[in-house]
Amino acid sequence: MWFIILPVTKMSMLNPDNEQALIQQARRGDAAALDAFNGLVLRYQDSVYTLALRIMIDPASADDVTQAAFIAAYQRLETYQGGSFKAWLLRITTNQAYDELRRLKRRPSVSVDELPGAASDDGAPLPDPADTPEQINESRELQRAIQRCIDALSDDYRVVLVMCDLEDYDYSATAAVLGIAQGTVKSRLSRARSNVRDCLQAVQELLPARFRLKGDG
Amino acid sequence: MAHARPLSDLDLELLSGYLDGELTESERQALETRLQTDAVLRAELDSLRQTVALIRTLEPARAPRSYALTPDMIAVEPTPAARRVIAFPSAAVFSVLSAAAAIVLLAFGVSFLSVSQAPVPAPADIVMLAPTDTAVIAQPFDAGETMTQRQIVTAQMMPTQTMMLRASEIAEAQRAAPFAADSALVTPEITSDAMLFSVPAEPPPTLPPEMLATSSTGVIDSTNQAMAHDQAQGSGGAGGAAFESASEAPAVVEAEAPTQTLSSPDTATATSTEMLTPTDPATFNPVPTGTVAPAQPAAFDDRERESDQSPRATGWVLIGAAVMLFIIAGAAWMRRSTRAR
Repeated sequence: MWFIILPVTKMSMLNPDNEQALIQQARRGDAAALDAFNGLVLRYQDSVYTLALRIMIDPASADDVTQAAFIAAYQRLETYQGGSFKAWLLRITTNQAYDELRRLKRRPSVSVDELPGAASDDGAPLPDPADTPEQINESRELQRAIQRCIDALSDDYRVVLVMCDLEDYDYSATAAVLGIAQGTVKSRLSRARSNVRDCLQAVQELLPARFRLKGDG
Repeated sequence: MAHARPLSDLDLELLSGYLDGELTESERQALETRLQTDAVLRAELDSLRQTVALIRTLEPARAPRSYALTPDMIAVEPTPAARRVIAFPSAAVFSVLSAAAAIVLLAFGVSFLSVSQAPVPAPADIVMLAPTDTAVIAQPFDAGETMTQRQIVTAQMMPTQTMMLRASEIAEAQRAAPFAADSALVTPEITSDAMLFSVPAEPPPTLPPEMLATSSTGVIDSTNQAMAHDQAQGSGGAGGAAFESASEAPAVVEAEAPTQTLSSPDTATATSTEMLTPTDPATFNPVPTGTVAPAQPAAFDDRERESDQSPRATGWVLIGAAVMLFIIAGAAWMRRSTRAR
């Protein structure tokens, strides 16, 4: 399939403003429609997978949700009515993830070794080559601790936190994606941050000294 | 971090919004004024700011593989348009079939009810009686008959308000229980479409009006059974007082209009109560029409009554099932509409 994706990838990378052109082409339903849509997939698959992973926590479930989200987006492309395509795509992803959570009817307890970002995970960030091994270990330990605290949040709080603090959405955009009121975003984000702060304070002894919260005893 | 006092949720929201620049101008100015004097508030703001900074150190995940779509993926998952095509016939067919089944059940139920009320006489075996809204026919017993041998004449009113009886039954009734035609009671002034009277062999003592009202309340069937029970015990029914002048041994007479039997028991009851009141003797003044012949006295024991009630109960059950099917059909139709959207 790479020979199909490559030209599309080049096209989308060469012109970052051709998103609407790709959408229009994908809507035509002709032979090139799928290729055009795959250009959008490659552009946003990291964001979609990240969001899915933050919500689902489990990488395998996030993988399923990501693929399902792109399929659903292609099939519902006629419902896209302009605006931020990424926001529209992330809304579909959020809905897919919520549906999957309801289907599974479980809240997985994630051990430290299974946390996203661990060495064995597909989505692990690459370490900075300039970091010493000690710094890399500290960074990974910090990442695990933060991720663990975020995963401990309820679904509603976690999604808002991910959208606002990790996806850099403002309140109105987050409210639009999740279909909730802006005031709800404000209150959920406040409580989510407070909970994460309390969680990190509880495990700060495990964190390297330079990552400990100031003013904590 | 040791807080001197816990902050309220509102303060936390203000601090969080302040970090994101999501406060209004007035909120921001008020909060900044408080921050200058409130050390706890400042410490909380610093803590939240550091927390957000830590959260933002999380690296975005990388997609473990390409999620580019292939034609096979699109083919496996039907498009919304295809889902509509698939969903529409199944829900619609189910709805239509349910409605059809409901109509069939309803027809059967109505037919059971109509059969259970009165047999339709053969056209050649019918005696046309004088038109009247309701007819009350009293058939006397022989003096030697016991009360368990109650006699019932059922007269069914045709839509043209004409009474029909089987000629053979009438002739046989005349032989079995000689009774002058003028002893039959026809009460044209009765406006009720359905009424039932139970008359004892001997004129019973006049009952107080409240008892009469009580015994004649309720639906026709229950009244019928109660009166039959009263008559079997020889205690006299409500109608007994009304028929003091009718005859010595009247029979149980039932006259029903098919179009009103099921729908207006209250009307029938109210009129019956009025009719049965002994203070209104004019109501029951026998007015022989000369065209009414006494019908065949029929033995009417409990077994026969049960057999008569069985088709009626079955009819009601079928009608109830039809109603349920109608509801299911409607729900399926609504479901189809939802899917189509």
